[in-house]
Amino acid sequence: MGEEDERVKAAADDPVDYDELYRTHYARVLRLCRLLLSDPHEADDVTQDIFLKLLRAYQVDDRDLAWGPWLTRVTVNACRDRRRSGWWKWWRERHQEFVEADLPGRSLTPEQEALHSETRREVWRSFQELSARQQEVFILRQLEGWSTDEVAQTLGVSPGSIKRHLYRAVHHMRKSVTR
Amino acid sequence: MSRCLNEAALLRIHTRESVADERSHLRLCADCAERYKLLVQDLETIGRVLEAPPLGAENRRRSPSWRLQWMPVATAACAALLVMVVGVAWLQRRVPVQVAARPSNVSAFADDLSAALFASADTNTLPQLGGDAPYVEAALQAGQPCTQERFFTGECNDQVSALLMDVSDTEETVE
Repeated sequence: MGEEDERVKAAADDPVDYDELYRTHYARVLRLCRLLLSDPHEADDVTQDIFLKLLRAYQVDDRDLAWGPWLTRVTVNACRDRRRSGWWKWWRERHQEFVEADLPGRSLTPEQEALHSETRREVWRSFQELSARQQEVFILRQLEGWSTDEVAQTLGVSPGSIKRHLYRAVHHMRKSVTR
Repeated sequence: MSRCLNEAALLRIHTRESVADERSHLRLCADCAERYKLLVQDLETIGRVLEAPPLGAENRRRSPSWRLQWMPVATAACAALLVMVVGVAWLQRRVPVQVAARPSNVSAFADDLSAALFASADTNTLPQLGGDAPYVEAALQAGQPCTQERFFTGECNDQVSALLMDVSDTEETVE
């Protein structure tokens, strides 16, 4: 299946109503922002901005667009911009320590609850130790399930570079998984 | 392929970007298959952790090395302060504040200035003015310059011309 076919298929799968788009993608976009920014307040703020952009784009642009990938691209770029504008705050926050006991447990699934707390702490810490580019690649490639070419096109780097970033991110994060 | 697969190759298989040799080796090698299984498990664990409710400000506390975290900000502040101090010092060195600060110097300077401006006997300070003045006056009046002949014939009989002629005469006397 070609890239254009995938885009059309994704567009067909996407809801066409703005409210439905909001309901479908809000949680995912917020999660991406929180992963990329490591700050819930900044993430909320950026998410609001992203859905404002979606509303404007939705009003003027073709409604057959694949809004899911569009939102992901805008989210990655918005988070990158936010990190650049508040580099010092981001730098300070990302070095702060994770406290497992403060996690809101009621939102976790039983499977997530079952994960060893030390493992969770270490995974989060190692994720925050990744470079911004490695985080973006890992999220898009591993969590969002994008192909290497799609990630390369979105981030503006070569596919080979995406593979290297992914390998380094996985190699680094695997050390944090205790057995 | 006889050699066992490294982590990068296992990851390529997981991301479906591997070559046929690597996949066939994985099917035949129990050790690589075990390592591949561990890789997949690790990635699933990592995915589950990251998809859990993410860290927020309420989930964090200041680490013991928080002083180090403020180091870039403190360094930038120190650098800005240093630049400001050097800039102020440089500006102060350029402005002659001491002259204005001492009244005796001010009065002496005022005396010198007054003497230079209002000295009528010192004709040495005016020769250049006298040389150009008739032409300047002529330009202003859009007429002929007041030469000695025109002055004596009364064609430029006014106080300014008289003064200028006086200066011209003085110049000639000096020469």
